Amino acid sequence: MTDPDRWRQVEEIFHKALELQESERGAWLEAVCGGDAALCAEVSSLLDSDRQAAAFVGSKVERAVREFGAAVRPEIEGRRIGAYRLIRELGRGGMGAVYLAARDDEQYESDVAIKLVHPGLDTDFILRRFRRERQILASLQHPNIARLFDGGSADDGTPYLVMEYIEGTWITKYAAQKDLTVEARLRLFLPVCAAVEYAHRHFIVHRDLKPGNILIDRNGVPKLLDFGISKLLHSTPADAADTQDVGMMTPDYASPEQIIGDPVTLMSDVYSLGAVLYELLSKVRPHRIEQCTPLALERAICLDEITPLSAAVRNDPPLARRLAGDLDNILLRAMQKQPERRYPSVEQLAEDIRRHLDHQPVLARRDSFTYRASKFVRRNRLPVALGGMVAASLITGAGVSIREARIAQQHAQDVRKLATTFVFDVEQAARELPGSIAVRQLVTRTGLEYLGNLSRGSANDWDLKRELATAYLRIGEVQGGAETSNLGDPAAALKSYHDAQELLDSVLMHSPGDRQALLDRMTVSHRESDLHRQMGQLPFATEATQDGLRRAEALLAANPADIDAVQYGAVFHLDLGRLRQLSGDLGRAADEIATGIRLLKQLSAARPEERETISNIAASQARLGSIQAELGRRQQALDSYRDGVSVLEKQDLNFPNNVHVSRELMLAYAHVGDTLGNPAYDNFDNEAGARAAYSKMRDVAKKLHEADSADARATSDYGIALLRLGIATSMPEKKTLLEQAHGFLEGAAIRNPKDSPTRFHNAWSEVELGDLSLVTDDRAAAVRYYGMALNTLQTGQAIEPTDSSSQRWFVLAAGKLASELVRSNDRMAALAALEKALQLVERVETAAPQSVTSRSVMARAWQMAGTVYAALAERERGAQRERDRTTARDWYRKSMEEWKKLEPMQGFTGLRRREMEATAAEQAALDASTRGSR
Amino acid sequence: MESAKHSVQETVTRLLVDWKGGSKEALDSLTPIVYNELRRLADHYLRDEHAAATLQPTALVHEAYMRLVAQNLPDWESRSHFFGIAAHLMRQVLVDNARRRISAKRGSGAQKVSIEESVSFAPGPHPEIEALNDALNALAIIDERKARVIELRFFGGFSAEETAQALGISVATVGREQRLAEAWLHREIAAHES
Repeated sequence: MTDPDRWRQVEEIFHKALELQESERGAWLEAVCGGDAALCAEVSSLLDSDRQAAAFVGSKVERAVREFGAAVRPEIEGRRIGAYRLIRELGRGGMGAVYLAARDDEQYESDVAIKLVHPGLDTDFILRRFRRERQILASLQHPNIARLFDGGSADDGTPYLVMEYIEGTWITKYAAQKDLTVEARLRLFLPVCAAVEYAHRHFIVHRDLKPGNILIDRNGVPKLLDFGISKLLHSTPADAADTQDVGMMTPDYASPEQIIGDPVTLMSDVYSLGAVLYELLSKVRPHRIEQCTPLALERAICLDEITPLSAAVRNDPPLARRLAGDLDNILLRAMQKQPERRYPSVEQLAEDIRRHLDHQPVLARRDSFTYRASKFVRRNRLPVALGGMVAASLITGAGVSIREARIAQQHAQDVRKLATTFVFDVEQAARELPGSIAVRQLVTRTGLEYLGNLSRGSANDWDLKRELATAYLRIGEVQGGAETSNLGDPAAALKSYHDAQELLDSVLMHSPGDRQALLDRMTVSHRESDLHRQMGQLPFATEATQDGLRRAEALLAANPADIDAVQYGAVFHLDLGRLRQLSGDLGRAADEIATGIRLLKQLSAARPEERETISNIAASQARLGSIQAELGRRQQALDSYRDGVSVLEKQDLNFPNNVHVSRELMLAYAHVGDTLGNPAYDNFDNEAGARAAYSKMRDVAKKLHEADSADARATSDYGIALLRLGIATSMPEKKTLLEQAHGFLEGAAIRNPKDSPTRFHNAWSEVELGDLSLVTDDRAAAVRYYGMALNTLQTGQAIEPTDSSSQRWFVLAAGKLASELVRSNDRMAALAALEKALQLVERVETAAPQSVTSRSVMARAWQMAGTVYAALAERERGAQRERDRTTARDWYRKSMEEWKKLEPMQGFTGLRRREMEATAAEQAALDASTRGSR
Repeated sequence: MESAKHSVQETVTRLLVDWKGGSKEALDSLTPIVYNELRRLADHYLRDEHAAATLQPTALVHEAYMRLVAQNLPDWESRSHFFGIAAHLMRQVLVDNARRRISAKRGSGAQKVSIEESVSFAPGPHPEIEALNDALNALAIIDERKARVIELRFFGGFSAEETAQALGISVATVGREQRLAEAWLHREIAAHES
């Protein structure tokens, strides 16, 4: 049947036959086909099939869909995510699956909901965005909003969110189960509006409001889930990405702008709330969506008028009567196709619901005297019953006052709405228009002008002032790049922060106890400080930080357990510590950071679920330790590092599979070992202690490496750990460990040639192996290893002028190589090796580094030059010997001059002193031998 | 930041435009992206039996469109192109899944099979969707347009109007094509099943 002509013939006859009555077909067919029995059989078999074919294909496809996935169900139960153990699946949504989970340690008995985000196409982007926005979302604290506690990426890289677990029922199901009256349903809905309104005041749009995200908990309290999360997880720079949130599972509650891909605003939530309320009241969804194609959806949601609520329940006349009128109007207004025709805010939607409940005229209703009158009569049944005259006058009066009140209120609402939506739009535009800086600046500037006008008119409207301040804060963040891909105008950002500050100051002047204003005011200080610091304006940064600190301390003085104050206090002390460190005041930096850590610990005790705090503690302890080490306060440094170890060890128990925690722990062991007994650092000469710490370091590094042996960093870390353990171990294990270390570091360096730590540790291991060869008097091997070290540090890319570790190892390798070459009587090669080191420090000198660490590299190189020339002089005779001695003396002198300059500086540790003393001793030895030979 | 700027959606949109402009490579690059997204969505949504019972494959195609295409493509033609491939790939996803299921069942081998049995092991249950798939392939050889109509209607969720527009034929023709195609497929599959 593949002959096209034949097939066309079959087709034609088939369709003609279909037009006939079934009974007529047989005879007709025989006539038409003539003697062609095959043609006749073909068509008639198709006609037979046609009778049975209805829904045949569709049902096959449907069954295939139903069977989907039954094959592979992942084993989720018992899987660990961070400190949590998954218990069971709670549900699936557009973005991922949600599981009930419990903390895996015994300490906190709390169930949480964990949302595992399905790894999508742009996981990296999601993670980046997630980190930025998580704090904002976590800051939403409202009795009707389920809290977002934490999040991160699981061991396999899947992003996840930890949220408050709400054991509850969908709002619509709850209402049906309890068979709630219309009034009870409306009262249930009001807190939902309040929660959304609260979030809107923080410029967070839900974007995915639907019954499944509004649960009623066991106490009958509504709780909103997933606030702002749909955006967090799905938004990409392209604006249309917002339409993704709709997902195909719930287009029923999505606003028209979400369907067609227009920007999502606060008004989109108004629409979705309307859609939920519609279903809550009528038990049917507002749209009849029959097909899921874009055209069909657009038609249903964007074009088709919504059936009025009362008409949707026509078959239930009492309910239809109850819903007719106000509620019809409220929903029609909330669900307008055009955002600007909806209620300007959720607050107003709620207000209308309240008015309806109180039998007051709703704003959605068109003006009509009779309407007002009928309302009035209902509200004032008793007085109306008392007498027509009285009632008539009351009606007139009430009409006027209601109208005026409405106008005034409308105005305030509009102003507020404009402020909030506009800023939201600005923020959106600024974020999501990649590249078009001019446009972004224009939009931002227009926004600022607008806010400026509003501020001037805000005279005594404290709420508005507070909201405007929040708006400025957000704009400042956009401008300053605090949480976006950086609009990069720090000066403009400072101006916005300043405006926010002024508004908040005036609010605080008016009501000093306004807590939210105070917290916002402190946020402003923190951001200002950050910006000033980035701009290198340390005094301004310090001033802003101290201002914030004063406020936090005042709060703490009033209530030492005020956890917000504790948090802000910690932030400011740590900020201040960083600033002191930058300005070289290490002593005070250490004090501030220590105080910050103490507060962080208090914070962590109060909010144990916030992992970020614990990471922050560990990081701050490492910072404190390094400052103390630089101050030469070895014992304090050791204590800080050990403190960090104990925090991290505990954390590692809670999160055994968390790579970040494990790695931080490994680094903390390294710090402890280095301080106890690593000759390359200022240390306690406690080799056994160092060995113990390094041994733990090695264990963690090994675990990490084995978990992902393809990871260049884990390979490098393992090599670094083995190297340190090797340094603190004696022969013969020493040699094995160093060789293993070298192997791993080589492997890592090949994969990641530009990574400085890998590179200098690799060179370090080569220098150690060279030194070890000398112990067994294998000088050829030593020369080879030292040469390798120089090579290692030169391949890939030149050593950065700021990379003092690489510089140090280069200088040491070159010096050791040169000395060996002198011993082999290879003067030329020795001087060539030395020259390399001298050229390197020449570059360092040009960069004029400030720190003792960097500058000591120069002193060390010049000392090496002295050593090499002094050794050469020993092998020369006559005038050449004198010339070499003079050169050696010059280098020693240059080196000692540098050491002397460094000696009074902070950061001149015991290690540096020993190096200086070694230089002085060599210098003295040279002088002595000169005198002796004369 | 680069990867964020250069989002998948932009890529997909560009590929669609290129493809429309006649680039065969664009289609080659597009196919795996769309397939993977559909596969991912299907894995994701349809694992839940409840969801699978209420969800149509066409919804997945639509969601893939929402996720993958950056802007609403200005022209209907490119949109229709997208849905055309997506419909085809949705079919592929369903077939692949059915095969995977069968092999998973066989692989999990709860009951031990003797060597003789395993040697003479029949090709195994032929998934229904695969039968439909084979029949559709056979139909495409005789009459490609009819196979496309079925694909667009059942795997891509096109309405009759949309199908007509996509294929440049009248709505009435779509109806006729579909009717004969369905009868043909039914006969073809019934013949193999018996």
